[in-house]
Amino acid sequence: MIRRGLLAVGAGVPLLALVTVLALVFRNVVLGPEMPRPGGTFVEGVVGQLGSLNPLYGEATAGSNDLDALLFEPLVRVLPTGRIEGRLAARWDVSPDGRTYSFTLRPNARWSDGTSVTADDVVFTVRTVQDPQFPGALLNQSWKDIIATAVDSSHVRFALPGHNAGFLANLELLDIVPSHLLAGKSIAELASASPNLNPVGTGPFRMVANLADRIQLERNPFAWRRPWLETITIRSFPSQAAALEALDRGQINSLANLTPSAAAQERGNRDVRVLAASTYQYAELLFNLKSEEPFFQDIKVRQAIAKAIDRTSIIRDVLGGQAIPADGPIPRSITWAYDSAAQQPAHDPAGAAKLLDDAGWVLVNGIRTKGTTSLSFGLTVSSDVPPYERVAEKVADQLAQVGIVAEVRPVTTASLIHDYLNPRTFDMTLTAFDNGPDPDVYTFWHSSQAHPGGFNFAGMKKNVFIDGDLEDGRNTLDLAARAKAYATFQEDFAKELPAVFLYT
Amino acid sequence: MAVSTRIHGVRLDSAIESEERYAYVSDWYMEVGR
Repeated sequence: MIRRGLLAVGAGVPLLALVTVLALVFRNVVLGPEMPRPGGTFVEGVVGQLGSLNPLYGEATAGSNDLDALLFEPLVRVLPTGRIEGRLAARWDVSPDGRTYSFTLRPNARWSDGTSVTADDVVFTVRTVQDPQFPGALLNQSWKDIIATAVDSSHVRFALPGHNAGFLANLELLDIVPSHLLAGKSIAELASASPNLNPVGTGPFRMVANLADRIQLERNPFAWRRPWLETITIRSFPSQAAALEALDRGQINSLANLTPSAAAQERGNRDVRVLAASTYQYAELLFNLKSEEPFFQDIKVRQAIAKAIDRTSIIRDVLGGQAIPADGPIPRSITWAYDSAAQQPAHDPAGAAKLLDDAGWVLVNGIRTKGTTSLSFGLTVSSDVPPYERVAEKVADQLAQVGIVAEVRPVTTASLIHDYLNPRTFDMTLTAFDNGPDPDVYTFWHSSQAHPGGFNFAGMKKNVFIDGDLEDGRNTLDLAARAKAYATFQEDFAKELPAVFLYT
Repeated sequence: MAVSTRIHGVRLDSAIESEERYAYVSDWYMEVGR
């Protein structure tokens, strides 16, 4: 009896295992696959203030406008591959001469109060950012001279003054706002808190409550792309440490913009996944190349500075390894346009010293000197946004090793823009830019943009090759032709070296 | 970006601006059923 029982157990265990395996394998066949269902409250932590909820003023107020992406939408979105995705626009056409863009709005697009989205909303948004009183300089500049016309309620047309293949990327930055709620208000009123308190957008969520330490959103019932999540809560934390603690305790479901050390810490947390992506940001040292500036006219000095800087150690020591070296104004994250053949001079202090010797800057008491002039200048940097000041100090240390004196001058971001970049009163400046997913850097580097008010802050003298490359790059919509133009641009740019690119 | 394993469907493009972590937020889900 005992033996039979043992035999039965002996046969039963593998049989049970087999049944379990079969049940698991065929579970989806029998029961059907698991599918997403509506519901759930997602809680994200952010460090610091929650930022603006007015999509047009995030830039102007230098606040984070991340939440706008949940509440508002542009007409299109540009992917790093160069592909364009429709958002509020269902489709679009470009005229053969490349100067007229026509968009058809999604027929089911509605504001979160249920009102239909019309072409008038788009035209209203464009005219708002075109207003001379509008405080966002980049949006204002990029929309200047573009004529927006509502063809009918669902079609809008943009007439450009010239070719601009990067126009769709400009369009991506323009979240459309509701004219039926905002028309008639002054620019000052639009910039005030009023539209921030109850923003009405077309995004997948709409606001329920805006509290001191959190913003609560719910699924927008009128959104053309309905989300599964029922609600999203964005909670503000005073520090990353506090937010990480909340994540580890399961009090929040997500935390973005992690520091390198935080990302490393969370990789050890089995309850979370760490997702990483590149950005389009880059940091650079801009030379002031206007003729009154004595130091940087000689390309040997610019090359020596590039060779004196060890970008790898900056990334390792200051940025915790959370960046890669940059070689030019087109970051490698724009995969289709980045040219890996265009490289800046590699770190070579001995080579830097030789270039300075050749240029007549000899070492006197450890400082490069020519006649009675020392190779000593200011390095202006924003003190508002870490880690730029620390990066500037590291750059100054590295330049000191070849006898160049760079005096770090920290200023506020507002002062950097208004007192140094716009009037071109800096010697050298460490700046960071994010030009988005399109490689068109005409605004920053074409000689026509060197005038006061333009964004070619370095003031590089006209280089017909660079100007020509930049014109070719924006004159066609063909990606292969654009990639070729930008490859040539990056190679010409690396030879001219009007800036030293640090990291991206 | 660190995301709880309770949240499904989260993905990022190879390069993003900070706010583009929400680009596919409509695909995120917490509840499942058959």
